[in-house]
Amino acid sequence: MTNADVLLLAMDLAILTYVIGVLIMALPIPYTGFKRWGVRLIADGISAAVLISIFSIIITLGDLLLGNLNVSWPSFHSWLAARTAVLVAVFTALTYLTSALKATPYAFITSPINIALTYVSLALSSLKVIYFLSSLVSNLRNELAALGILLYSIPFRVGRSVGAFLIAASIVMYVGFPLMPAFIAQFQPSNLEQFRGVIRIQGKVVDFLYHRVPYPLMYFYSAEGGEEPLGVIIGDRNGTFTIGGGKDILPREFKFMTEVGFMGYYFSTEPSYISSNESTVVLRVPSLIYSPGLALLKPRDVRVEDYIECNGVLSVVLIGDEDFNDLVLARLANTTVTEVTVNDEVFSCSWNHFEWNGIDIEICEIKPNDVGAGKLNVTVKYIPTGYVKPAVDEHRITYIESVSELLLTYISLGIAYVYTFIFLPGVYVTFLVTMSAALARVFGGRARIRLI
Amino acid sequence: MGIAEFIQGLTVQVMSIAWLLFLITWVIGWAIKGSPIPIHRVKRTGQSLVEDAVLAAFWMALGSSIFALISYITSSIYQPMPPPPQP
Repeated sequence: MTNADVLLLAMDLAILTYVIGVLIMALPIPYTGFKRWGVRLIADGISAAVLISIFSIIITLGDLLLGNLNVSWPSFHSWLAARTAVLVAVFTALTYLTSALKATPYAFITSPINIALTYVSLALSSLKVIYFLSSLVSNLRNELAALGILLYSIPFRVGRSVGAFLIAASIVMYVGFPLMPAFIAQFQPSNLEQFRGVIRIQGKVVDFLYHRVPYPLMYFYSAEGGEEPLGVIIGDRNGTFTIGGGKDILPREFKFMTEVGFMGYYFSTEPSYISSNESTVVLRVPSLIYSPGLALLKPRDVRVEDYIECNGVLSVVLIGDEDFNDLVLARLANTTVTEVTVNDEVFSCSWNHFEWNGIDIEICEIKPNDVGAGKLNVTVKYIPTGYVKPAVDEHRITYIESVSELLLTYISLGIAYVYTFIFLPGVYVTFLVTMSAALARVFGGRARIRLI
Repeated sequence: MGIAEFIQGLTVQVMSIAWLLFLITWVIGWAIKGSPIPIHRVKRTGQSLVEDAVLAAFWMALGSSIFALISYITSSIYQPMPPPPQP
């Protein structure tokens, strides 16, 4: 049934209401109170006919008001999507916080965080209600107005109140919902913006020649010292890692010393720390030269004069001021090394096997005879293989000193979120409903909205 | 039979009954008014019945014209809205 059919039906009902009114007036019953119903029904029939005739005007009025107020439904939908994204981010952050704190002595804090999670879920539910109502109004506005007119036309004022409310709602809510962002922006607390400034640092680990190091094990230590790492994070296959961004509990300002674990060895980096002042950082491992499945470990002060790597041949010319005593060739157990030459002489490697975090590694210490300081040309022929992820449990950074500060921030944020995501939209929707009821009274409806 | 046809049929029937009731009421009204009962209140009842019947007949006769007039007026005042002003 199209809107035109609904309106035709409404017109038939309006005529029927009118005729029933006339019939009551013509009844030979001399009671004024009864006769008055006849006059009422005649008036109802005429007012319903007027509403049916101005249906197009009602619809156009909404569009005209929207245009005059310079708001639109697409911008409202994108605003809703942005708010949903923020809520989901908060939900994820709180979930991570809970899981991060579980293993610490501060596990008791997870209880209030769970309450906050409940509020965030509540905010998501309220957002869902707004999604539902707004899509109902934007997609079915014409149908709602036509249905309202149909109900309005039913004889004896059966659906007059609800009909008038639907007609009024199709105008008020169609114009009102896109205005919601402006309303909420007016009352939104400013500390919500702080949350978007959560520290997030993206890092990249590269070797001496700026090749990406796959699956680096990142160890973070306090700058004040301490043997126990604050956190252990595994980078991805491209050597990138992220700290913060809701995954770690970090102080506002920090400086963590870094160490990289790779192929069974632990390396210092350049720079040797990461700090809260940077959002991206490149950590270079000067002692490492990496090829797929193979690594040449050199002393930090040994320089590289030339480097060639192609078709399974790694050729490096090293220059050092001292003996090349600490030169190590490491390979994955499944990487086949066919030949090692040092200064154009075949070097016989004695491979030592060890296991490191679930990875089988073979190492060979290169100790060339009678070289001393100077130039060393190491060439390795091998069959490249892919590096595998070490089997280590990540230990995200939980900076205990900042937990209480963070908790207070979260509590104030939680209150702000409850206010902005539940209270303000609720007030606004109530305001729209009240406005619709008021306009419905103009149309002749007598719907009473009892809020309390 | 669809609901629209049902309502239209019902309207025609109600209208026929209303015309019949008008006649009955008009006749009863005049009968009461003209009856040899010297009670003013009864006479006034007859008078009011005649008046109501005539008013009902008037609105019934005018019914289709009123609906046509409403449609005419609204269609003549409804002009395409101008485009909203651009900022």
